[in-house]
Amino acid sequence: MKLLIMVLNYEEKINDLLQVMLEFELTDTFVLDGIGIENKLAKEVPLFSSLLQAKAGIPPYNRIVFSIISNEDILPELIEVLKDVDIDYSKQNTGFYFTIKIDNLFIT
Amino acid sequence: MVKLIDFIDSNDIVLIKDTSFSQKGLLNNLLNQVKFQENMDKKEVMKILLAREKEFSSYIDRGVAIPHCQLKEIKKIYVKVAIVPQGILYDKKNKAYIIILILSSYAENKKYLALLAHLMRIFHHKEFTQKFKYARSTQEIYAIIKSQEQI
Repeated sequence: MKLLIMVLNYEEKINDLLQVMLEFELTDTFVLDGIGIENKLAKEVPLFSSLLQAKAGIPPYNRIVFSIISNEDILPELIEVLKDVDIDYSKQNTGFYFTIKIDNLFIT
Repeated sequence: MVKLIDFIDSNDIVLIKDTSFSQKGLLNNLLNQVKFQENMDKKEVMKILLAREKEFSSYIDRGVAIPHCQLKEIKKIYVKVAIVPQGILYDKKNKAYIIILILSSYAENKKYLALLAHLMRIFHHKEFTQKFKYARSTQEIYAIIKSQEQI
């Protein structure tokens, strides 16, 4: 069993992503709002304001999706189907994803 | 991943040439073609479907409507697909050409949600929806679904 973590830089695409997760019956899924470290610092600490220019083109906020997946083999197909809704993780600035092993899971 | 093709065969697709159907008439027609394995009161199912439509239309876009509900008495998911080439006025604003009726047991909740999400995605493609809409036989429609879902 794995925890899939997907960071999506395009907030407006989050519902498309979640619908695809639903297609794969990944209902143990939740979403957090996020912001990259550079954007956070550039906005709030004047010293780092030049970081905003350096990161031009990358949306300031992102969405972070956590999903419990029991079968890791679905991942390549999931990533492929996401392309069908214009979420292509092979394209620059889309975001990133990774899985980590879950040792213990308690769901009530 | 679920696919529409897993829930239907060509007998579950109907081509409706009568454009005088109301939403209720069309849903009734489709419901009458569902061969329940359980002992179901179809009038009660109709009431549930209509109540759902009244609350919020299941019309999604591009001439597609997906009337659906969950029923505690059934043990599986039943799907019927209707194509109305001339379209019918499905709700107050929208004309529907493709109507997909889904009746699901509560036990199949994950699959039911997955199927709804899947349909939302595949019918978002204009080209696919157009092909579907202009198909002239149930076999042709079945073949279109099959080829789309292979991608």
